[in-house]
Amino acid sequence: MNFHRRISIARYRYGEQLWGIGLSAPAFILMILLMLGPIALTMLLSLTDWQLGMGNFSWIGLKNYESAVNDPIFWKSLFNTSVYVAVVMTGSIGLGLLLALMINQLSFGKGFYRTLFFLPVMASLVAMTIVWEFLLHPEFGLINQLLTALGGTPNNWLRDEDWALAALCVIGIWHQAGFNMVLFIAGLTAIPKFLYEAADIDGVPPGFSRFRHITWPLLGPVTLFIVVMTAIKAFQVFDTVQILTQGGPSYSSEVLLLTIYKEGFEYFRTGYAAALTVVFLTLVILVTVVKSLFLEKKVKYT
Amino acid sequence: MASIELINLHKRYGEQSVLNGINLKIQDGEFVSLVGESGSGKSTLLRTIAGLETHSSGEILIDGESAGHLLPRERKLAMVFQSYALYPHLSVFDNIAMPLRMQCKRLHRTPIISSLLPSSRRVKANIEERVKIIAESLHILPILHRRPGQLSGGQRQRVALGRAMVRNPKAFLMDEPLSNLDATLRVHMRRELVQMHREMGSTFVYVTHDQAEAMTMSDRVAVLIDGELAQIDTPDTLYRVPSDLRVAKFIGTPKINVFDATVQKGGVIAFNKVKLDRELVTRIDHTQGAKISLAIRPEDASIDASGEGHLKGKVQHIENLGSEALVHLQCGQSQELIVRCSPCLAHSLSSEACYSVRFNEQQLHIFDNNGKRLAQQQNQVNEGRAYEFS
Repeated sequence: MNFHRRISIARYRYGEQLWGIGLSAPAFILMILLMLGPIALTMLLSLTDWQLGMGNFSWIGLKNYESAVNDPIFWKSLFNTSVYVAVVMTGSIGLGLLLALMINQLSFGKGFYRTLFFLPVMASLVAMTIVWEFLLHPEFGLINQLLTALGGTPNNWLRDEDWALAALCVIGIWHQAGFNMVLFIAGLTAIPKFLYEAADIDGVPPGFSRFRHITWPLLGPVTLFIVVMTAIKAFQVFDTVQILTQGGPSYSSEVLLLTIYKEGFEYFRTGYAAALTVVFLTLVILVTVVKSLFLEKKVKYT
Repeated sequence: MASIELINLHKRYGEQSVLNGINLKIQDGEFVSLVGESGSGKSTLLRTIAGLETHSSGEILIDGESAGHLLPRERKLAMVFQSYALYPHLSVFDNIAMPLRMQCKRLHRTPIISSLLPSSRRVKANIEERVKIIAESLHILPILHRRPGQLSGGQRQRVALGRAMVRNPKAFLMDEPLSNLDATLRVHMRRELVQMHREMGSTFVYVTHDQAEAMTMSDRVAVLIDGELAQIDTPDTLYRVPSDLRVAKFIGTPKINVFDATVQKGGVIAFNKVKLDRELVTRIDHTQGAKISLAIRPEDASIDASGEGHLKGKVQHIENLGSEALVHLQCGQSQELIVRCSPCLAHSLSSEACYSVRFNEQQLHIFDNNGKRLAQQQNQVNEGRAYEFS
């Protein structure tokens, strides 16, 4: 065979490969620097006793994880986070779906209501949390005043062990429902109209039957996406807790991210905080794995 | 099985009138096609019959009973959609079973309660048996467990038909069901649908924009033009005796040739400086100077070797279709004329050359200024095409 030709093809291929590597290099390097690198570093840190600002450290193996397992605050924090995720997920998805279904039925004013319920998402959460603080204020908060007017007993919501986490859940739902609603509306619009017509012809009665047989199954992919997004966002709850309760009273509203923050930047136990971060990361990844391994197959129809 | 009757049906969207006084009686067991260009209202008409669209005024009778106020499911009609509208999340079996399940009592449809009812096993078995019978007849038994997304176009089409057939509807409404199939499959399914219609003896209302489908499949064809029913007749009559110029133009490929002409003194028709045969002219009762249209099918025009035809034209383009040839001629400034002839004859013609074209005057359609057929001509055409022009 033509030897020179073969050489030139090889040279061409080599050149093309070089180009490919060169073009993907910036993204690759950035990903290592900003994502994979820090994760690896955190994993390494979690095996040390390093404290923020200290010059030296020693490897202590899995000691940090061991102390986490023996730390009741960690368990309390994990439990609270799970409760928060479960409540906010169901609440904001249910509310979002309900709002989407109702808004979708409207013949006019869709845009108005959509904007109205989307406002909490657009507003700065920190600012809105301060507003909530005033709403929940024990003496002149709107909620207590309303309760008193209606004959109920006012409460110091954020200082009450039984109510602090519940109040945070309500704010979480309020904050996320609008976003889920918008996604659900998009999902509803994507359901072809002719399927409802076919259902009409086939005798599927309107109302709940129609929702069960057509709308809900066809919202499957959107719902799955929303579940994962909401779960991950709920895991990350921090701003509201830090502003309103700082985890109190007596750790009743302590959540994972707050514990990590306190350990890392208040008590400077960076190694321990890194271990908790790894736990946190594992949980988030777990959600994604469950999603792509088990749930995705159920809602993909092609 | 049922007859469908539409009485003075109107539909308006605000100012715009979509259906304009449709009167149509479809007999029990008849195959009627609704044809028309896009926007003519044929789909709207079908959807109005189905109950998916409301009508502004008029009556819809199904089996002689007023059905205009009924919900789609109460009309007991089946519909096959252009997009098939199969439920993507359900298997083929469940798609076909859906109308049957919806007929069951409410308790049988409730998930947990139904499994507690002793009769539900029998109901389930009945549904399964029925679906299997239908699937068998459509040759889709092996794909019952698949989802629509995994099927080919032809298979989806069959599933859609199965879902329509499964509960013995009063009539089948089909909205361009074959338009998403490739050409070969379309012709094949055409035949299968006709056969299905014959076997079931059910009423079919079939919407299509493809006149070949309408002409080959139906007992009668209804031509809709701008929301009006221009003509409803057997395919043969529609082709040979179009009652309206627009119908004449719509039916038939290639399009019918149309010429402007005027009625002259003594009822003589003049066009292109040629006076038509006196015998034909006497059939026209029209005032002098009236504008009329003459229309002639490509097969009723021929190249005249003697050079004494009705008009002359320059050959522009010859389409050889194998079994026949279409000769496009240019007559005068902007008038185009298509002549259908044998490929042999077409071969002997030279491009850009002028030829004389003769019309079979017996087959000349004459329409008045408004496009209405001039009545006198009708008997003559019904006599058939035996007349030989010398």
